[in-house]
Order: sequence, then C-alpha cells, then structure tokens
Amino acid sequence: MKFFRYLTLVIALGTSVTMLFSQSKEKFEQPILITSAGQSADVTLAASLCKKAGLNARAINRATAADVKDAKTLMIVPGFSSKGLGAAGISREQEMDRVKEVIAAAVKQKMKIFVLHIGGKPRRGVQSDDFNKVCAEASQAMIVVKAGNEDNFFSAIAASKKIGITVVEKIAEAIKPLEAACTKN
Amino acid sequence: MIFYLYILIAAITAAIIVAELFREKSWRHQLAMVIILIPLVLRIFHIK
Amino acid sequence: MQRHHYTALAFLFLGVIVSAIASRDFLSMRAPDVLYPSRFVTKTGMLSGYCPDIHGTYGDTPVYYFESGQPGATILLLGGTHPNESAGFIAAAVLVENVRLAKGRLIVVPQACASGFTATDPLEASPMSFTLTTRSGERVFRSGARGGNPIHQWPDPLVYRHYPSGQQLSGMESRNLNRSYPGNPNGTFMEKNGHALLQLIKTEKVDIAFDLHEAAPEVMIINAIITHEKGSDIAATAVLNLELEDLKYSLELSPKNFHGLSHREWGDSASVIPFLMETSNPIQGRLRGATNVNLLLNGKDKFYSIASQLTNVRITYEPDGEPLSLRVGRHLQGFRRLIESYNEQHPDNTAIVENIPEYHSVIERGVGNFLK
Repeated sequence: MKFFRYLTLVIALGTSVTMLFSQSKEKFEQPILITSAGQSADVTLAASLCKKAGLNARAINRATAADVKDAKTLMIVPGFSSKGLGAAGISREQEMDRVKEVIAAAVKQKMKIFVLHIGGKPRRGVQSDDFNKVCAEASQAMIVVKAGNEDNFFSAIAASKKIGITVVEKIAEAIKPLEAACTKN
Repeated sequence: MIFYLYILIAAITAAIIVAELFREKSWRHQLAMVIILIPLVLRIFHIK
Repeated sequence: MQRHHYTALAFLFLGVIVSAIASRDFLSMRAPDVLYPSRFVTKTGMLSGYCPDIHGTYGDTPVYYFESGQPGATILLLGGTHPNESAGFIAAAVLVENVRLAKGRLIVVPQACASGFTATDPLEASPMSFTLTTRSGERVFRSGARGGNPIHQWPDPLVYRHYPSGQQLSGMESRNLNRSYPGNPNGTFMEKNGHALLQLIKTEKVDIAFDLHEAAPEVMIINAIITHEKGSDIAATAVLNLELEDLKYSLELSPKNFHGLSHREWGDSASVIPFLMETSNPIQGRLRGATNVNLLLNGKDKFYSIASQLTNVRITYEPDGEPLSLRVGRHLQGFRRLIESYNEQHPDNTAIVENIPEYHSVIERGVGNFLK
C-alpha cells in the first residue's frame, strides 16, 4: 500500500516538474496537421481550438503518410468512437495501422508530435487506451483534459518518457497552452 | 394485409382455446387456458 | 351441463373481468396529452398535412409553428421520437408553452412517434404516465414505449430491412421511428411516419433540426451531440461553449453507413443540418432497481450510485441522480447553444428564439414551473 502511495507521489511530482520545465522547452512549428486516432469527432473540436488560438492547422480525420509531408507538426487527437469508425467505414485494426503509419512517417521526417486528449472519460477505457498509449508515447508534448487523466494514465507516460504534459480542467482552457507551444516567441 | 391475417390466426387460436376450455375437466388446466386467452382477446380487439 | 362446464363458464367470466380491468388501463393511454401553447404560437397543424395517408391514424400528431414574421432560418425540434425518453417530449412541451420568435421560424413536434405514446414496452415495468406539478396544478403526461404500438404495426418481421438501403436490423426496429428515415410513402405504418416528418423538413425548408433523445447511463453516447458531418463545426463550437458552463458534451459524427437515423438521413435527403442530443436516463438502464415514476422523475437509483463509484465501470450518472429537470434543462441549453452557434456561422440566415428557460433555472425551480 505504502509503495503505491510513494509511486503516486513520485508520478505527481514528476508530472509537475515536467509540466513546469518542458512546456516552455518544446516549440511546435506550423503548419500543423491534425488527425484522429480512433476517429472520434474530437478532431473537429481540436480544429476549432487551433482556429481560436490563431494557428495554421488543417484537420484530416484519416490522414495518411502522404499528408504528413506538407506539415511541420503532427497533432494527434486520440480517442475511440464507434460512431466515428462507422462514419469512416473502417475497422479498429485498420485505424490502428493508419495511426502507426502516420506516426512512423512523422518520425521519419523528424517532425514533432503533439497529443491533444480533450474527450475526457468517454475517450478512455479499453477501446480508447490502445490509441491513447501509442500516441502519447510517440509525442513530445501533450495537453490533456483532467477528466481523461484522473487515474494519471497520461501523467505516468509523460513521467516515464519525459514528455511535457499540461493538464487542463476544461477543453477551452487548452487554447492558451496550445498557443504557447505552437507560436514562436 | 399480414396484420389482419395475424388477427385471424389469433381469433382462430382463441376459438380453439374456448372450445377446449369446455372439454377440459381439470379446473387447473381451465384456469391456465383462460390466462392464455386474455392476451389473445386483447390483441383481437386491438387493445394491447 | 356437467360440473366442468360450470367451472369453464366461471373462469371465462373471470377472464372477461380481468380483460376489462386491463383494457381500461391500456385504453387510458390513448387519451392525448394536453399542451397549452404559448400565445406566440402562430399556427397549429397536424403531421398528416405533409402525408395525407397518415390522417386519422396514430401516426398523426400535432405540429406547432412559431413565425416571427422576420425572414430568417427555420428550426425544427422533435420530442418523443422514443416516447419512453420523457425529457425529449417535456423539453419540446416547455418550448411550445414558453418561447417566442424574434427572427425566423420554429416548428415543434412534441410527440413525433404518437403511436408509441399509446403503449409501454412489455416486461420493462415502465410507468404509463407521470405527474408534474405545474403553474396551474398537477398535470399528467404519458410515458410510452421506445417504438410504435404493435397494435398499429404487427407482426414484427424477424429481420427489419431498412428502406431504401436494405440494411438489416433486428425485427423490432421496424417500429422504431429513428430507424425509419427517409421513410416510404407506400411502406409500413412507421415508414409513412418517417416519410411525413421528412416531407415536413423539405416542404418547410428547414435549416436546422433537432431530435431529442435519452439513453441508459451505460450507453457510450450519453450527454452527446450527434450530428451529420455538415453540422460538425456548429456542434464543436456549441460543445466548447456548453463546457464553459460546466455542461460536458461529447461530439459524435453520424456514421455514414448506419441508415434510418435522423442525423444521417435528414442530412443526406435535405439541405437541413440535423442534431441529435442524448441525456442520461437511469430508468432505461439495465442496472436499475425499482422501476417506477419516482425513478423516471428523480433519476436516482441506488445500483447506479454504486456503479458510479466503481472505477472499472463507465457510466454517466450524477451523484444526486439524473432528475427529469436536469435532463430537460440540458436539452434546452444544448438547443440554445446550437442555435447560437448556427447563427454565428450563418450570419445571413439567423433565427432568434427568445424565452428558452435557462438550464440552472430549470434545475432550481423544477421543470413543472415552466409548464402552464
């Protein structure tokens, strides 16, 4: 029991430290390519946030490796949606293959990857977490809405992989850190 | 069309049950028959 | 006559009495709910005006029109697509009895599936009606079944083939209005009902349409706004604005290959931008305990309370339950924000609906206070 308490404390401390230091360290260049991982409609919300933040971003729900070429930052919005997969007419496995392919293309191009998890609890759980994990581990920074990180899922990945993470209470609060991360000083 | 065919089937089934009710000697079986009859009657008269 | 003939007659007589008592209850659900339209309702019509075939049937239902006299967008709102999802019907009733139009038009169909209000679903123990204390005293409203009454469309096929896509669904979905679109003027009772509603949308040149629903707390799309792809930007802005008021919604896109639903077929068949909203209603859930009017109105269930505290169960259930006032309040607030968002993105064709009760007022004062 004590071990878990210490572990939580270490993760929380680690998260705070990375939040303080890594947020300002990483800069993400524009144009940004926004894509989904799990086909939730949160991509539309992400595009709306980028628009409000005044960023040059383009959303392609089912972006492929070819789409990555025109962008300088890949923003992934993870979260499973059965309706979204239905809308796209693809299976979960096909979607996972596409996500891995896009990430590989971005890594090959030495492009930075940004994760924006804004769906909260509905975008967590068995169906979503595979996508969340793959994307979070490949990223250099994350913005996560608190309701989706109550069990420190993203914080733990951030701490272990030394990734900058910003946890916000509400989706709309993601605008400022997004602006800060993607705008050149 | 199929709706009225099904109503006819329900009506015939109900009629058979009523006929059997008067042939049946065990009151327990008679009671069971009446219980079966109720939903059929309600459907035949478009009540439920 | 023998002895068993007398017992047969006695049991038959007993059967007649039981049938009569049951019939009285069942037939009581055919008495229509009475709404008291706001003085700003400019016209009241019937759905059969758009499909004469349903005239005089239980598919026909009242349609309320609010016309501002100022050119602008036309809004349609449906309640009671699924009559057991009471918040949709009551939210529509609140609009009919309260709002006024400053610009554009609003059309409200509070009981889109009128047939479903005349029966409850078998084996669910659902209450047939509930009472709300309103400004004028107590008023009774019906709570019906998810689909149409089997009396009006029987038997259910083993497999329901959606018209015209041919998509196959469970047979009982043949009576589900929200699987019937775009409908068929020569089809089944429910297909005609769906056709009539789509004709309304086309004839009235509806720009933005709402279909109000509820679902069990364990359903994935609770507190969601589901829209056709052409409504995604409007919905995204509304979701962000609602979140600023601490009303969390998830945004879901209508699957292109799932046919028969309002958010898919309305958008595909007409120029309208459709939205479907869901709230969390424990009386529809599988985990629920005692199923009664209290649960319908207060939305409080001890088994959902326990489930909500488990980390490995994903449900949407507020610690104080999901009362009808909260569910209606969410629908009204979602309606308001989506219209605002539509207006923002279509400045040349706006609609202004005034006097929509505020979410917090509905919760604090109770939904009954917004009904005459």
